[in-house]
Parts: sequence; C-alpha cells; structure tokens
Amino acid sequence: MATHATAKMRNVRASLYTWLSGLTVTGSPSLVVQDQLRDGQDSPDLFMRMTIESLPGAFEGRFSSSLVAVKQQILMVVDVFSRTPADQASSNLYTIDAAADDLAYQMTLMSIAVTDYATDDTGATTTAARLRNLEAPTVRVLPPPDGYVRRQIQAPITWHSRLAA
Amino acid sequence: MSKFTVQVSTSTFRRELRDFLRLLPEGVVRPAVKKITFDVLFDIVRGITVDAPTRVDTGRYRAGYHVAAQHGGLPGSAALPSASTSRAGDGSMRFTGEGLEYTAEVINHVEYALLVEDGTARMRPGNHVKRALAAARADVVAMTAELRKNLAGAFGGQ
Repeated sequence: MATHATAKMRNVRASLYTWLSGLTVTGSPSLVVQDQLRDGQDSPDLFMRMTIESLPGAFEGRFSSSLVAVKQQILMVVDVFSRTPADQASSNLYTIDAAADDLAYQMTLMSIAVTDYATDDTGATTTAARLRNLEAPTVRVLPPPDGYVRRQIQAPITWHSRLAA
Repeated sequence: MSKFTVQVSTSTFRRELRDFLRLLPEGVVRPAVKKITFDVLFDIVRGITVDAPTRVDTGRYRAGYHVAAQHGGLPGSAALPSASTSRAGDGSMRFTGEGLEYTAEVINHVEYALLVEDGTARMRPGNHVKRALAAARADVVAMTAELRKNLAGAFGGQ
C-alpha cells in the first residue's frame, strides 16, 4: 500500500525548502540543504543551511475508514553564515543579525501547505496538511570557529499526517 | 432503609494536602528530573551512534555524557557508553534548586563538542542534543496534559 503524501518526509522537506528559498531575507542568503556543500566556499555573501530532525510522532485516532491520523513533529534548524569581518575590506556587522531576525519573524506562527512533490515535481499538488509552528523560534549566536560568524534559528514544526490502516 | 452521613473536614483536607505537597519535591520532582535527564542523555548518545549524521570516531565526545552522568551520580549511568579515550573532566553534572524548582545541568567539556553538535560552515550540524531535548519536551508536555486530564476526571471536572 502506498505511503500517503502527508507521511512522506520527502514532501515535508521539499515544502520547507521551497518556502525558505522563497523568503525575502536581509542579505539575500543562498540556501544549502542538509549535507550539501555550498557552491563557492570562499564567497563573502551570506548563506544559510537548513536541517530537519525527526521527532517521535503520536497516534491521534482515525482519519477515515482507511486512514489513521498521526501528529508528527520535526525540529527545523536554520544556520546563517557570514564571513568574519576581518576577512573582508568592509562589511555590515548587522546584516547577519537582520537576516536572523527576518527568518525568526517568518518562522513565527508559520503555516505552510504540505505539497506532494512525489506525485508532481512542480509542486502543483497540495495536500490538506499544513506545517505549523506555534512557538517563538529561538535565535542563538554561535562562536565563529572557522572564519564565519553565525546565527542559528530553530523551531519545532508540527503537522498531521495520515497513514493507511 | 439505610442512611449514612459523610462529613468532610476542610481543615483536615487542607492539612493533608499541604503535607502531600511538602513531600512532592523529594518523592516526585527529584526522581522525575533525574529520569528525564537520563532519558535525554540516552537519547543523545543513541543519536550520535545510530541517527544520521552519526559522529563517532574515538568515542570520546559520546563518552563525555557517560563521564557527566557518573560525576553527577545519575542512576543508570553505566548504561551510557564509555571510551578508553575518555579523560577526567570530559563531562560534569550538577543538580541545583529547591522544592519544585529542581534543575539538572549537564556539560560535555570535550573541546570539539560544539562542532559535533552545531557543525561548521562546511559540515552539517549533528543536532543530537537539540533533538533529544525537543523529544523530551514533547514527552513532558504530553505527560502533563494526561496528568491534568486524569486529575480533572478524578475531581469530576472536564
């Protein structure tokens, strides 16, 4: 039996990636996903990396005669990087903070449709499920051990998936 | 026909309730904090070992949590993996606070701990600690909701 579109992590990951890459963020950081390396490692431009960590789900009850509902949760972590100012002739020290603030603002009370990319790569097929964050994201200032200043924004995301049963 | 009378002494009930709440920190809160702490540590080392990205080379960072648990005298610390590369002081743990405000503080002192957890510009973060804390938090929220529901049911509420 095929896995329902709302239960495919591929769809969740792609929906979040598409949403994040379409945001207007100060400094226009490029987006790197999970294990990818950034193109142009020495570029002075901002970039961000998104990682998603699965958390245990919780059974909620029947959705229909053939499906059960499961409350799913993931942790979404976005790291924003910028070369340390010493590496550049000039730089705006506040750009990375402004970018982190923009991302935290956009991630607050976010509500994104889970799109079924497994069915249609163009993302034209949406499902009824929505990825939501109901908490204020946390923003951490991390030390710059490798020549980059860094801000880390994280928020728990929940949605209701369906499983055949 | 039988008849009986129930008399409730509110002063006695309040006294009993006060005694119960006074015993709560010792009997419930401290063991609960230690249990949650152990669960989080166990989840962290499980994540480092089996969840992508697995980050075990010498095992010293992972064993830092074993050292911390032993330092804090945490029950069950032997279940956490140790390593021959461990050094004294690789981890520490302390419990602070009084009554219902009881806190566990765990520190992994291994010098590259931050890099394993948060990654670098060229390496994705492990997020093992963040993931374990988020899972524990979700568990506590669910348990609290269940407890609230049971208590409300016991007293005839919703």
